[in-house]
Amino acid sequence: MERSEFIKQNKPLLEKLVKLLKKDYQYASVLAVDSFSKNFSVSKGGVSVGEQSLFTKKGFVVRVYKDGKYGEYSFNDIDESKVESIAAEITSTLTALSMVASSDFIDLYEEKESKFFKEVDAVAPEELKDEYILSRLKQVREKSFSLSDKLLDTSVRYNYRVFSKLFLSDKKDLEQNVVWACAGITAMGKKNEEIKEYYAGLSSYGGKGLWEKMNKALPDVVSGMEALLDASPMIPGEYDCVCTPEVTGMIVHEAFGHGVEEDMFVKDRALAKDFLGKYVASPLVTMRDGAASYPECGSYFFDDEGVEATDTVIIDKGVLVSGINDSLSAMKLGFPSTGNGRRESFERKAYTRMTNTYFEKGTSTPEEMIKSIKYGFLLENPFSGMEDPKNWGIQLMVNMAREIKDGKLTGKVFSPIVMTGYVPDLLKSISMVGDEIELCGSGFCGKGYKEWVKVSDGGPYIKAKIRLG
Amino acid sequence: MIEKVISLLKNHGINEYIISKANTLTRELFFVKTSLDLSRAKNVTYYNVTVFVASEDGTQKGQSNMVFGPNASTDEIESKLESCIVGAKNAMNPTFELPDSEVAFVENAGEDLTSVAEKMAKAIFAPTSKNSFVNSAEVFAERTIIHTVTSKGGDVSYTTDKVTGEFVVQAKEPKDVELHISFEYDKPDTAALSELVADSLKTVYDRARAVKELKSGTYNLVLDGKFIGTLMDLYLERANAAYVYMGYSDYKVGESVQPDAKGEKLSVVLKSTAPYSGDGIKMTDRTLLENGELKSIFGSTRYCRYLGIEPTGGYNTIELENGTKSMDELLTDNTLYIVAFSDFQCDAFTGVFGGEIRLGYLYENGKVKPITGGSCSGNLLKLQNNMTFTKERFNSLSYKGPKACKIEGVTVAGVE
Repeated sequence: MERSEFIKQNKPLLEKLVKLLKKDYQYASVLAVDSFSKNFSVSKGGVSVGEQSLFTKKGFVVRVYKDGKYGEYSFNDIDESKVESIAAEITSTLTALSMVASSDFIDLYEEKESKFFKEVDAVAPEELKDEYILSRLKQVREKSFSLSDKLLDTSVRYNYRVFSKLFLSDKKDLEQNVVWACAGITAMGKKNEEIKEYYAGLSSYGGKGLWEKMNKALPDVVSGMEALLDASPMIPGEYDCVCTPEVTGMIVHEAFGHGVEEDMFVKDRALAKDFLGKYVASPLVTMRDGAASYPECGSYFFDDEGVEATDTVIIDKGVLVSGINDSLSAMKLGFPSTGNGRRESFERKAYTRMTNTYFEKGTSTPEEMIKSIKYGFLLENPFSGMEDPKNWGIQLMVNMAREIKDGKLTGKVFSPIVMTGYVPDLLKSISMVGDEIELCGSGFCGKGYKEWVKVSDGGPYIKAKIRLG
Repeated sequence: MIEKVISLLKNHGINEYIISKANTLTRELFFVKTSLDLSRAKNVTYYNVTVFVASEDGTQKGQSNMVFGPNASTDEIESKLESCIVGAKNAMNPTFELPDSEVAFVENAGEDLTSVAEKMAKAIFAPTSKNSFVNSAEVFAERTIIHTVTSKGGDVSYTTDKVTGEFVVQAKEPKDVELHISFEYDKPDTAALSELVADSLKTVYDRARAVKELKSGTYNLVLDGKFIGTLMDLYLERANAAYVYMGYSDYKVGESVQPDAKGEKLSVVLKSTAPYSGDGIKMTDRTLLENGELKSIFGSTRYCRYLGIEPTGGYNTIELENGTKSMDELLTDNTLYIVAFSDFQCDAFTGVFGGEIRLGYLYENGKVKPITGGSCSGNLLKLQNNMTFTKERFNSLSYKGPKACKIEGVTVAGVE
C-alpha cells in the first residue's frame, strides 16, 4: 500500500498551522485523514457499487488547549494561501464557542514523544477492483440458489476501507496505513406475510481470505433461513444456554464492553467504576480489548489522539482489573492511556471506544456443553444489542435458539429471542468456556445512537444461564 | 468546481449524471454535568457525483458514484471518474430514466449557529428537579448548504438547518439510575427541549423508584409516542418501491394493509423535510395510508421507474393522523404503559417488535406502579388489527402524531 499523497502534500501546511496555533494556545495538534471506502451488493434488486460517503473523506481535525479549556475544529479545505486564515478562523470560532457556558478547569494531558510509520499487510490491490469483487459476489449468490428452493432472495455484500492517518503535534509525528474488508450474506425466505432472514457477517483485517470465509459460511446461512421458516415464538423463562462465538461477542461488547469505556467513568455513568478489583464474572472468564490485542477490523497502530495501540486485560479470571480510555478521560481519572480514543471521522469528537473485544478461550468443546444440558438452547445469529453501563441491564436480540433436550439438539427452533437480565448475573453464571475463539468485525459500533466506528468482537462458545423472551 | 466536473464527465462521454455539493457547518457543545467540557466547530465541503452508463443496446444502465473534497485536483477527479465508469459498467441493471428536474433557489437566512447552540444548551439546563438532574449533554447546531445539478437540466440550491443532540438524566435515590434521551429539531425550539428535559427528569426519578416485579404473561400494552414512529417504519419499508420491486412486500395501492382491523385504521402522511431530493425531485407531502388503505408507493428513481410510477424521492418523516381516545381512556386497569426501552425495535420483514423495558407503569387493581426490567415482544402484522391511539399529540422531527398507542395482547417476559 502506497503512502498517502494527500497526507504527503499537506503535511508541511499542517506543520505550519500547528506552529501558528501554538502562538495562541498552550497545545495544538492535528490529525489528517485520507480515507476511501467502497460498497458492493448484489440482490434481487440488482447490482450496486459506489463509494461510501461516511468513510470516503479527506480532511483534518485540530485540537487546541488554553487556560483549562479544550476545543476542536474540523475542516477539509487547505492550501498554502489559506493556512493563516484557517488559524485565525479556528481561534475566533473556538473562543466565541467557549464563552457560551461556564466550564471547570481541565488539565492539559501529557504526550509521550514518538515518531513512526506503520502499515498493515494488506490484500493485493487487484482484489479490491470493482469487476473482481462484483464477479465473486455474483458467484456466491448464484451458488446459494443451488442449495435451496425456498429462497426468496439472497443478498450478498462486500465493503472495504483503505485509510491513512497522520498525527502531528510538538512531540508526535505518526503515520499509518490500514485496510479492512467485510462481507455479508443474507438468505431470505417467505412464509405467509412474514419474511425470515438469516445473516452471516464476515471480516478480515488487511482484507485477505474473505472469499474463503464467505464460501464456507454460505451453506449454514441458507440452512439457517430454512430452519427459521418453521420457528416458534420463545416461551419466556431462564434457561441453560450455549452461545456461539458471535453471540459471546455480542455479550462481551454490548453487555460489558460499553460499561468499561472510561469516559463513562468521568461522567459517573458506569457502574463498573465501583467494581474495579472485584469479581464481576465467573473465574473462567478473561476479557481483553485493544487495537493490538487481536488482528481484526478494530486494529490500528495509533488512535485518533496519537496514542499507540495497546492490548488491555479488562477481566482477569473473573476480576475487573481495567477499563479502556481516551486521552482526556485517562488524564482526568489518573489512569494509564489505553489508546482507545476514536472518532467516527475527522469531523467528529473522539470518545472512548472499543476496538477488538473478546473473551479468551477455555478448555471445553461445544459438543460437551450441549451434552451437559438437560433442557435449554443453543443461541446463534445475533442481530442487535444495546448498552446500559449505568445499570448493567441486558438487551440483546438473537435470531435463533435451537432447542436442546437431554444433551442433544432436537431440531426445533425458536425465533426471535430477546436476552435480558443483569450483566454480572449472566457473566457469573458462565460454567463452561470453549477451546477455540473466533472474532468478527463485520459491523459498526455506535455510542448511544451515533458515532459509528469499526470494531470486532467474539470469543469462544460459552455455557451460561440466561433469561430469554 | 461543478463546471469543471461537468466538463470532465463530457470528456469521458458521460451524458447522465447528478452532481451534489454539500457544505456543512456546525457548532458543537459537550457538557459534563453543567460544565462545558469541550467545544467544537466544523466547516467541510464534499462533492458527490453519480454517473450513469448505458449498455450498447440501451436496455441496461449502470451507475456508480464518487466523493471528493474542495481541493481535489483534476488528476484525482479523473482517476476517480475512470474507476466510477468501470464500476457502473459492471453494475448493469434494467434501464430507467432520470427524473425531470427544476431550476430553483430556496433562500434560508437562518440564525447564527453559535447562538443556536448556546440557547439550546441553556434550554437543557433550565428545568430543575429536587430528585434528579442532567448528568451530561451534547448539542449540535448544523447548517448544510446544498447545490444539486443534473444532466436533465436540474439546478437547485437550498439550505437545511437542524439542531440535534442528546442528554442523560440521572436520579440517585432510592436507586442510582439514568435515562439517555436524544432530540432533533429543524429550528431551535427551546420550549420543546426544556419540556422534554423536564419530563425526562420526572421519568428518571420514576425509574429510580421502579420495582422489578413484572410477571410474565399477555398484556394490553400502551406505547409512548416516541416509539410509534418506529412501529410505523414497518409500513414505510413495505411501501418502499425497492421492497415492492424485489418481492419483499406485497403492498398494492388501493388495498388495505389492515384488512381485518377491529381497532383504528391507520392514516399516515409522508412529510417532506427538504425542498428537493438528492436527485433533484421536488418533494411534497404525500398520503401513505388513509383509513388503512395504501395510497402511495414511494422511493428512489430507479425502483419507481421499474414499477412504472413517477419517482417520489425518499421519506423518513411521518405524521400519523389517528387518535380517538384520551390518554386516561387508554390507561385502564390491566394495562402496561411503557415510556422507556433500552432499545425499541420493529422488524419490517417479520413484523416483530419489542425491547427490554427500562421504565413502565403497571395499571392494576386501581393502582399505578412504576416497573422496570423484563421485555415485551409482539408481531405487528398480527396485532395491527387491535390498535387504539390517543387524541393527545406527540411532536418530534421524524414523527408527529398520537402521544400513545394501545396494542392488545402483547407477550411480556417478566423478571420473576
